[in-house]
Amino acid sequence: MHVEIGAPPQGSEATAQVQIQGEVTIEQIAELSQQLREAVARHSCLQVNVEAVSEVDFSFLQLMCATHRALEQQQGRLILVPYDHPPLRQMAQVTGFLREQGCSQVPDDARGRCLWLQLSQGEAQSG
Amino acid sequence: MDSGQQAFLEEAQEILSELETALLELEENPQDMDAVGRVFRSMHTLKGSGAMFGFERISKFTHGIENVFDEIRSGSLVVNRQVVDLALASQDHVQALLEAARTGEEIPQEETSQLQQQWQALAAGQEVEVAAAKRPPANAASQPQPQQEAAPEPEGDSSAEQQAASSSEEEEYRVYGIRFAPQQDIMKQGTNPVSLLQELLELGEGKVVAQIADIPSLEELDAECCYVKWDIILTTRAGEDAIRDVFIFVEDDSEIRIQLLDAESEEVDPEDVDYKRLGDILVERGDLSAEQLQQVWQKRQRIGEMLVSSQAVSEEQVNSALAEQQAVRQQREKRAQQQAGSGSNSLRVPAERLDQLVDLVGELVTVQSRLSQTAL
Repeated sequence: MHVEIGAPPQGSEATAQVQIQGEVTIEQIAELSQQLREAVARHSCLQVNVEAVSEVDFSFLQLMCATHRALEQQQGRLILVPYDHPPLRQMAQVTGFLREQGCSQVPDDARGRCLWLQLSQGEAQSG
Repeated sequence: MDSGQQAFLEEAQEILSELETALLELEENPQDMDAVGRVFRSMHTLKGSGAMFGFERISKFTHGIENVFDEIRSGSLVVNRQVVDLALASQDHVQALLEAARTGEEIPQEETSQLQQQWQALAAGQEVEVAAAKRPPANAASQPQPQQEAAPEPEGDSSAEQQAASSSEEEEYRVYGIRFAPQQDIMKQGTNPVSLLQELLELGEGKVVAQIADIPSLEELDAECCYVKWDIILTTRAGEDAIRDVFIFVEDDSEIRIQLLDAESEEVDPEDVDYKRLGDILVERGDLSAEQLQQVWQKRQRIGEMLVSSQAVSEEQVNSALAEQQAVRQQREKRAQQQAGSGSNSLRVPAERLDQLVDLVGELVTVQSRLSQTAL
């Protein structure tokens, strides 16, 4: 796995870009978790690009949930691109993460931005 | 070798011991479908668990044997001496592979390949010569006689085949509700919970709902731990034993609940005239108390929305209960359609009326014949 975090210009409210490449499984998840924790501490909005991710396991979905909740709680946003990346969709499908209703673990106004709700409904994320 | 692999080796010994008992029973009585089922389940468990813990060679080898015994269960093949001999030889081979895993000894791949080819030949109806397997001396005298050896037997004249067919007909679809809450360090111990979900879904048609409310904040999250629990609604012909087998290596450290929700032949809740209401499912699962349900009922709004907005249960729990309700409803609707369909294909007619009809047709033929002669 390789991760690059591109911070927006200082003072800008733009979204920080997180590029992930390769496999993201139990072997790599602790490292990614630490990098996302640091990114969330510095930025309110993250765009996580998973296009170059070849394989994910269930620990990645769990980490995305925790990251999404952390950002929503600080009035930020988490955007996954592409939101319907096949390895991600397949793992979300088999592990029952796809859903018809929003997440109850975030503030009310953020429920509709549940990552798995949008993946389930096939909608593009508006951020 | 990690603790998960160690546990697999220990459990696999117990499975092999059960396998040997079932095979010796089959040797005594080749028509014993209960023993066939036990051999199938043993192979199925070795296949699934072997793959889960990284024993790919054992997994692939037992997969082929599982398929043959699945065909025996469905009545396409019958048990004969060659099947029993090859199964015993294969049991010895698995034992040797397990020993090799412990000691690091190399077992040539050709040995595995040769047995795999013999299973393939047997499944294709060809004769195979099986090297003698080690067997307990007490059972040596009770081997089937040579005249029973031909394989496969002609269609329709084997009582074993008939028994297998009738057993297959008796199998029915059942709907199970399964709650799987693994211990948090399941992944650290080398077990991938996703493999278990996939293996479960191989048993039939299922809907998996992840309960994600217990995932902690990013600060507190140990990303290598599992904080999710799952509800699986499974519609399957496999029995509860087959479902339990999927969890055999994690059952001591996980919460596993299996509940029969619907079956054609079994007694279901007598009050459950159609299918259970959402609130009742949640109370039954322990996700909601009866008092909380009563309070929400008094407000007379949509139960799921009210329960979520009153924070009595999470949306995931409501989704899971809805999945259960939907699976039971679909299964009952399908059954009703089948019954309606089979009803329209036959009609009861009293024997006297049938006699009358035959007489009338006879008269009609006679009159038609006279008319033909008159016309000439």
